[in-house]
Formats: sequence, C-alpha cells, structure tokens
Amino acid sequence: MQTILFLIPILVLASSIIIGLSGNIINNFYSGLISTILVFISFGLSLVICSSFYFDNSVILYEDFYNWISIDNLHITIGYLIDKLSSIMLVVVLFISLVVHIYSIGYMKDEKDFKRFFSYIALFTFSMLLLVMSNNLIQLFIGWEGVGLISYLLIGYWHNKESAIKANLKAFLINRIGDMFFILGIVMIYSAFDSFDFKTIFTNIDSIDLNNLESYFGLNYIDFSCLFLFIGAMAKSAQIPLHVWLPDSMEGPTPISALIHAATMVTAGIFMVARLSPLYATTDFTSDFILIIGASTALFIGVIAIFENDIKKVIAYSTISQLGYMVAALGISAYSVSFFHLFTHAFFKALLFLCAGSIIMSLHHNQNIQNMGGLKSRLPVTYICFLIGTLSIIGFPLTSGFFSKDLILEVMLYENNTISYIAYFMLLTGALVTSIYSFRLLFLVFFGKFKSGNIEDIVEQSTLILAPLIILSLLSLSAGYFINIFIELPIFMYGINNINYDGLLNFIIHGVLSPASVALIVGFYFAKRIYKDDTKYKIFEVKIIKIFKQIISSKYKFDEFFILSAHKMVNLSNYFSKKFDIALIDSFIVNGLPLKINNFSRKLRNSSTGYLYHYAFSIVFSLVVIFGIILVRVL
Amino acid sequence: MITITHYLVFSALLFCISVAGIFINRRNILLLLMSIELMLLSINTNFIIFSHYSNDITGQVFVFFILAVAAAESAIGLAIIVSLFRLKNSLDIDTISNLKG
Amino acid sequence: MNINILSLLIWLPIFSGLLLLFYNRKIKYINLYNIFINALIFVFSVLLLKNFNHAIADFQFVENIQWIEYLNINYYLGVDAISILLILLNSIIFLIVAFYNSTLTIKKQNHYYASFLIANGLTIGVFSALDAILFYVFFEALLIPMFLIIGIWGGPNRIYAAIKFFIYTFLGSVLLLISFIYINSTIHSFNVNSFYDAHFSLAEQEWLFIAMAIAFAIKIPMFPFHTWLPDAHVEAPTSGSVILAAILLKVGAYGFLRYVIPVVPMGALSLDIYFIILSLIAIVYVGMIAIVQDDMKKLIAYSSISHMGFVTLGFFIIFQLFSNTSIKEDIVISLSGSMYQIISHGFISAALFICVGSIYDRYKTKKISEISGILNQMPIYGWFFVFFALANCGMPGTSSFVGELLIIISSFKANFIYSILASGTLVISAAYSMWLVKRVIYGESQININNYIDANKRETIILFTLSLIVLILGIYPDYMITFMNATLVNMVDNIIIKISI
Repeated sequence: MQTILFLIPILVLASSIIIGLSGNIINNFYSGLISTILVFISFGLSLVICSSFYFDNSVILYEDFYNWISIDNLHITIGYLIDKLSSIMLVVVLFISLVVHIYSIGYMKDEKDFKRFFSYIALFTFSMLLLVMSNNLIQLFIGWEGVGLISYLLIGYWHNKESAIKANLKAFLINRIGDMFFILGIVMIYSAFDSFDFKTIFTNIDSIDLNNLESYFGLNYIDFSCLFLFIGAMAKSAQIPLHVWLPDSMEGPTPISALIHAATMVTAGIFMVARLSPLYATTDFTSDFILIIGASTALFIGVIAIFENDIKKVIAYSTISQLGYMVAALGISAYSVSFFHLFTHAFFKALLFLCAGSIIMSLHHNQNIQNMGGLKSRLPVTYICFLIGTLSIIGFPLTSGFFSKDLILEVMLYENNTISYIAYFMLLTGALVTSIYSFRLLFLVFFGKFKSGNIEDIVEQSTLILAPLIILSLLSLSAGYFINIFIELPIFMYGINNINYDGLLNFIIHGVLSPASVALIVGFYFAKRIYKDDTKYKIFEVKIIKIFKQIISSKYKFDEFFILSAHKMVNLSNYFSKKFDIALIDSFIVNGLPLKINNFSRKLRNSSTGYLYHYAFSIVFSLVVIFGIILVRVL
Repeated sequence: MITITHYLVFSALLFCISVAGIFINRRNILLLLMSIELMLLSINTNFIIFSHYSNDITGQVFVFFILAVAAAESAIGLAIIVSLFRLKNSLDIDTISNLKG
Repeated sequence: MNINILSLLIWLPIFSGLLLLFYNRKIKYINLYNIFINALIFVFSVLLLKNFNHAIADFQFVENIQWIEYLNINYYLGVDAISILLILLNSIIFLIVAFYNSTLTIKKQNHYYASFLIANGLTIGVFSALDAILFYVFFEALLIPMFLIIGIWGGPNRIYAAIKFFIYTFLGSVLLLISFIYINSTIHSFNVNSFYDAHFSLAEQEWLFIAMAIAFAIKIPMFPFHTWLPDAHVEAPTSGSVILAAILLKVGAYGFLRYVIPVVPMGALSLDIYFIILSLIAIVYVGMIAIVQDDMKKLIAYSSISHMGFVTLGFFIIFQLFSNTSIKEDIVISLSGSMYQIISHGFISAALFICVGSIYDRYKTKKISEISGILNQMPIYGWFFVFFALANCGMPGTSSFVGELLIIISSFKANFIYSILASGTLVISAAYSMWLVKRVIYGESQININNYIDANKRETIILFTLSLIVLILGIYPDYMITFMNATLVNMVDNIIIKISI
C-alpha cells in the first residue's frame, strides 16, 4: 500500500520532468502519450487506494517519510494522510487530470509549446496530489502555492497576449493576498498546538484550553485562525470579494480551465476546510461568515453569468457560483455534503468546459455566444454532452448535480437560525439563476440561427476530443449515485453527521418534490421564453429593472475596485519613492548634509581674500585682542 | 628730560606707522617692503634703548645682525618684486591675490 | 589539520590578486588563472566544510598568533558554523563571478580580476577573524576593492556612487572602531571570546549597541541608511552588483550575529523595538518602493533591502521572545530563519543580477519601460528569470520560503502585528517580482532585432547551477539547519545567561 502511495505522485512528477526536459528527443504526440499513460497508471493506483476506503470509515493511512525541517521541537515533515476524504479527492484529481491529458493531445496539437503545456499540467497534478495527500499544514501550503504557481503559468501560457499576462498577474497577486492570511492562520494554529501535524492537531483539539490563548477582536483564538485560513480559501476558491481573478483566468487554454479553474484547484479551498473540519466545527463566527460568503457568492456571482457573453466566462461565473454552494455547505458544518458537491461538480463542470473548448475549436476561437446559434445539428455529440452537463448543473432529477445540490439545500434547514434561513433562500434563488443562465447558454449556442458565417463550415472535432466528453457525460449522469459514501463521516471529519437519508428512492422523491424543482422549472421557462422564443417582456423596460441589470452587468465593480486599489498602491509607492526616499532621505539628509557643510565652507572661504594686508590686519587685530584679554585678566 | 618711556613711545609709533603702512597701502608692493623695513627699525630702536639702559652691549650687537639680515632680506624682496613686475607688468597689490580661497 | 587552512583561504587569493596586477599580456592566461584560483578557494572551503564538526559549538581551525603585543591585538582566526556557511557562500559566488567574467573584455582586465580576488580573500578574512581589530581591518580593507570596482568599471555616474558608498560605510566603521576601543578599554582585549564574557552596565550596553548597530545597519543596509545601495547597484558592473548583493550585505548581517547581539544583548533588549520597527519598515515600505522602480537593477536592489529587513527582523524579534516560556527553541528558530534567509538571498540576488546584467549586455538598457517580451527572443534567459523572480517572492520549494516561514513563525510568537506586517511580504514581493516579469519577460517584444543571442553555454551553466542550489536549499533545508544548530544554540545560551545576570 505504501509503495502504491509513493508511486502515485512520483509517476506524475516523473512525467512532468521527462516531458519538460526532453527537448527535441521525443516528439509532441509521443510526449503527450507518455504523460497520459503515466497519469493513467497513477489513476489506476489511486483507485486501488480508494477502494480500500470505500467501505471503511475508520481506517487511515498515515506516515511521515521526509523530514523537511527540524529545529528542536519544530518538525516540519512531508508525509501522507489518506482517509476517505483524501482518497476520493485523489481519484477525482487524477481522473480529471487524465481526461484533460487525453483531451489536450487533441486540443493543443498545433501549439508550438506543446511539451511545456504537458509538463505544466503534470506538475500541476503533482502539486495537487501533494496538497491532497498532505498530513500537515505546511505541506498543504506547499501544494497550495504549487497549484497557484502552475495556474499562474498556465493562465499566461500564451505569454504574448497582453490580456493573458494581465490575467495571470491578477490571479497571482489576489491569490497571494489569500496566501498571506493562510500562512498567518497556519502559524497561529502551530502556535496553539505546537505542531503542524493534522493528527496531533485533531487529537488535541478537545484538550486545548481556549482561555490560555489570546483572543482577537472578540473572537476566540481558534475561531480567528480559522477565519484567516478561510480567507486563504476565499482567494483560492474564488469567493466574494476575492473572486475577480477567476473569470479573467479564462485567458488560459480551455483544458486548463477545466482542470484547474473548475474541477480541482479552485476546490482546494473547500478541501482544506473539509480537511480541517475538526477545527472549523468548533467555530461560531467563522462558520457564519463562511455561510454568508458562500451563499452570497452563489447568488450574486451566478446572476452575472446571465448577462455574460463569453462562453468560457459564463461557465467561469457558474463555477464561482457552484463553489459558493460548496462554501455555504461548509458554513453549516455539512463538510461531507460540501465535499459531495465538489465531487459531482468536478465532473459536470469539467464536461461543460471541455464542451466549450470543443465548440470554440470548431468555431475557430470565437467565444462570443451572441455570434453562435444552431450548432445542434452540426455538433451533435458535443450538443448531447453539453445538454447532460447543463442538466447536471441545474440539478435535473437523477443527474449528479441533483443529488448534491439537493442535499446542500436540505442541510441548510438543519439549523434553526436566521442566517441559515437567509442562506437557504439565497441558494434557492441561486438555483433559479443557475437554471436561467445554463439554459440561456444552451439555447444561444445550440438553438436558433447561426449568426456568423456559414454553418456548413463547422465540423465536429476528432475522437481525442470527443472521447473525454463522452466519458465525463457518463460520470456526470452517474456520480450522484455514490451518495451513500458521503453521508457517513469518516474519522477526522467532524460536523453534521445525522443527515436525513433513508434510501435512494425516498431521497429522489423527496428531491423532486422540493422547492428546488420549482426553481428549475421556472428558470427553464423564462430562459426558453426569452432566449429561444425571443419573447420581449415589458417588465424589462421598467427603469428599476434596468438599473439592476446595469449593476449586475458591471459585475458590482469589484474589478474596478481592485484595479483602483492597485493604482492607489502604486501611486502611494511612487509618492514614497519620490517624496520620501529620494527627496527626504537621499537628497535632504544623505546628500543634503554634505551639501550644507559645503555651503558653509564656501562662505568661510570668502574670508581669505588673498590680500596680504587683510591677513596682516587680522594677525595684528587678533594679537591686540589676545593681549587685551591677557591684560584684562592680569589686571 | 628724555626718559625711556619717550624712546619706547617713539619706537611704538614707528611700529604703528609701519603697520598702518601695510594695512592702508593698497597701491604698491614696494611701499609694503619699506613698511616692513620700518617695522624692523622700530624693533631695532627698542633693542638699542634697552641695551643702553641695562648696560648690556649684546642688544646693540643684535641690531647689527638684524640690520645685516634685513639688508639681505630687502635685496631678496626687491628681486622678487622685480620678477613679479616682469610677470604681471604691475605692482598694484589689488591684482596680486593668488591666495584667494 | 596541519596546514593553516584559514590563513591559506585568506591570503592565497589576496596574494594571487596582487600578483595579477603585474601581468597584462595574454587575456586567456589571465582568465584561466582567475578561474583556477577561485576554484581552488572553492575546493578549500568545501574541504573546510567537510572537516568541520558541526556538533561542536566552539570555534574550530583556530590560529592564534600575536600581532601587536603592546595593544594585545592578535592574528586570531577561527570559524563556527555561521562563518563556514558564509565562507562557502562567498567562495561559490566568487567562483561563479569569475566564470561569468571569463568572456568579458574591458579595460585593465587583470586589475579587474585582481580586485575580485582580493575582495574574495578579504571577505573570508572578515568571516573568520576572531579578533575585533583584525575583523575591523578586513572589514575596512574590503571597501577598497569594492570602491575600485564601482569607481573604475562602473556606469556613467560611477564616481558619485562609489564615493557615496565609501563614505557611507566608512562613517559606520568609525563608530564600530570607537566601540571596539571602548570595549577594549574596560576588558583590555580584542578577543571575541572575551567580548562575549565582558559585562557592561545597561547604559554602556545601549550606547555600544547603538554605535555598532548603526555601523552594521549601514552595511546591511537597514531602512534609513539604505540609499547608498540602489546607487551603488545601478552604477556597479554586473559582477560588482553580484558581489555587493550576495556577499557585502551579508557582512553587515554577520557583524550583527558576531559582534552585536552576543556582546551587548542587554542593550539590544532595551532598544529592540526600534530596530524591529525599522526592519518592518524595510519589509513593507522598501518593498513598496521597489514596485515603482523603472530601473531593473534598482528594483532588485530595493528588493534586497526588503529581504535583508527579514534578516534583521529575525535578529531582533528574539528579544521580544524573552517573555515567553520556551524561549530557547523559539530564538533558535528565529536565528535559523535569519541565517537561512541570508544564504538564500545570497544566491537568489546573485542570480537576478546576473540575469539583469546579461539583459543589459544585449539590450544596452536596464529600463523596464524599454524592454519587453524577452521570452520571445531569449527563452532560456526568460525562464530562468521567471524562476528566480518566483524564488524572490518566496515560492515554496525555493530557498527563500524556508527563511521567511521560520521568521514568520517566530514573529507571530513575539507579536501578532509583526507577523501580519512580515507576511505582507508575500503580497509585496509578489507584486514587484511578478510585475517585473510581466513587463519585461512576457508580452510582445518591443525592440525587434533578431540577433539577440540567447544564453550561451557558460551563462546557462551558471544560471542552472544557481537554480539548482536554490532548489536544493528549498527542498532539503534540514542539512543546513542542523549544521548551524549547535552554534546557534550555544549563542542563544550565552545570550540568555548574559541577560539573566
């Protein structure tokens, strides 16, 4: 078992290094193939690992195998902690990575830097595995930074494109803001528990005496450190207000959007909170904060998708919104439910992105959905796959999204307080919004008339691209039936453990009859009327609605806010640099002091005129003065 | 009765005149040289007076030495002035301020 | 060991440098000679490391000969783990610089190399001198070759920069000398060990601390004394900048560790807050200034100041930790972090300056606004630059993360506010490093001339070696941390004893 666990990340790392350093020895296709095969083996091994946790909740595999730093009692190690949570996450990561590898061989075949791309995604997978398998906070952080780095490099993959390099800088910096809080949170946890190790932290959590620890701003120590950790997660998992980097990150190649910015990396924040659930389960304020952030992200960012015209950005906003669902579930302490949604979302969102990639390729890199339409007949396979993805995301009964989303909505009502009710209604409205934007996308892309050029030119892509779509479609349909794994909590996961689940059939009936279904149908109806049948509703002419529309289309000005603060920061730095560093310190003090002395000496210099009689006079005069003084003294 | 005081006052006056000559004179460097000579003379007067009153001949011997040295000195001084005149074509003191800082 | 290896390490490069002054015929021989001597020094310092027993905290390879009997000044050399690591850093960087310089053609090439060789020996002297006056002599003498390197082979404004550099450092040195003489007047010895045993009143300690701290703060440089560094860096030739950033700044940090903190801990304890504030200002404020620089070398110079702020933060945070219970461990963590940051910054800043220097060689400009899209013209350079920029902003896996992490851990134990400001470096360093990368490395090329040659074999080897070192230090830091543990523990024990008395 141990060897297998070692092999999983090592194979992926090897793939990255081999492809990255191969130069011209291996040609593009074979390098893609090698890397895919290595990831496939890793995936197979992860299935072996996962299968042993499938039935057993109490087993964990735990070991430190590398001592990174040790100073006296400070031990920072690299190791692994495999339980149900991380084993399932392993499978998800490796599966999506595998699918994206296959897809990329087709999608990226004309790229000059094909190998760099494959090297990156393999390295990304490795970092993600490091994060998922980690048994301590520092290793988690290393993986966390690693995936952020590869995300940065891949968003800027086309480094000649100004928009791409702007987007990757933005992503990097905003993630760094999160990381700053994340590392502080880690250090706080370390200070309290004297260990970075999950096992030590979780076993000591009950014995920790909160009264001995400082409290900050009225929050107790653990609450506060969890808040900081969560701010890190907010940046990585794109929650309001740190979500602004994710829509821009769509500048990267589409397979990357599927792998990194939909299925795996952005869910790292969710994974982290779930992993630290014993800590989070004890928090009050932070949990409420998480709930509010999650619910408002789910609703407010979802709404933006309705007015977005870039096909990838629509999906990106829907990703943020779905992440909001997961975060909201974390806030209510339903960590496993949140993780369930992460699981299903990985498949259908990757599916949607890869479909979008296929469409974009067929349309020769045209991404504006207003220019699409009627593609149903020309791209039948993609259409069906996209339809399945859409049905999953809106939670159509029996698809995977149905199970997970319904569970999230249901657990919202477990706690009888105002915040969770508000969150419930926001999420319910979010379901309506999801339904509207998803069907809008479907209708605008596949129905109606093609709006730019000759539709006959458009052809379906190669099998290498379509095969992953089909695989993902099947999983999008079936992933929800794994629900019973996620109902029971494994060891080291705390939170709500009494989820109301009595058999699959009852759950489905209950789900179909829930308000979510109503939201779904209403959403479908409006989307069909407005975007398919082109019905013009009078209500859209009302001024207040227009203002709302404007606010939403402006994306609540978050981007402007960040750009403005960046500008302000640069201006402030400029001010410091010019006024303080150069003017005050350098010119006034460092160079100014010698200058003052110089000026003084210059004045003094005037006293030596060069005329002998002046010198003689001063000699005599001083003599007289000195003698005078002596005389006065003597007398 | 001419006392020692009278002599001393006379020599002091002589000295003051020569100092004033150095200060006030801005025309000619030759005058400067003459003032210096005058200064030496006033000192010599002092020597002679004290030597006379204290019955010690050493003072007057000194005067001879000083006079001899002064003669040599003024010879050198005059030589310098001549070469200065050749260099600058004038003996105006105001033009000679090479020591100006 | 029978041979006096430390003396050999010091005097071999100095004498061979002096010898080189008189040979100016064949450039090829000069190059070979230069590389050979530097390689020899490197081999010797590796031997030194190998024969060093890091489990013992005492000074090793000690040489003690009487020098000036009347004043009780000795030629007293010896190393502990801290010095050895710095000597190794020193010899690696000088070897790399010699290698980098080997295709250079400039005026008075033999004198140029000789300056570097002499600087090499003198730096080793600084790191191994255990007599205060001997230390001072090496410390001062080191200024001469650096002054010449900047003043003769520098950029257009070199005279100004060189004189500013010289006078500024010299000003500090005077304070240092006065402090040494004052200490000598009470204990009648210049021996470092007797410095450690000496006891002063609180007021004396404060004054001594201020004087010595300013001397070394100028060298590091700490916040208000930092303005000589950007000028010196901008004007210095590439290899001069490398030495300046990688070695010379570390001399100041070493001075703190050797002559300030263990000698006058009470003074440091009562004034630590000011120096912590200055360090934090260096981290945040100087980092912000780095963001808006238009000259690449200036940007990296300011980032150096900001990183050295981390080092000094690690030094002074220890005095805030004394109120805690498990003092010793936390202090060792903090000092280990600082030491790690010193070594790590040595390599990273050297690499960045080499990158910038090579870009300057090709484009004849260092202005960020005039260069873009290097990746299109010189991909090898571009990727190395990206790598080192990432290392500069503390990416895990590179060496700088280790030091920053350790210092953030200990600064949190001292005070919550410190740790917030210190971890602000994550954002600020990312802002200046990655914005630089965005503007210079990425994007469309501004100057479209096709004959820019990418890194040649020599430059690739240099940058590859440096990146390998940075990665190894980042992935396997435990070797170095264990290596210096005994020395640091011993130092901390001494400080605790001195403070508790």
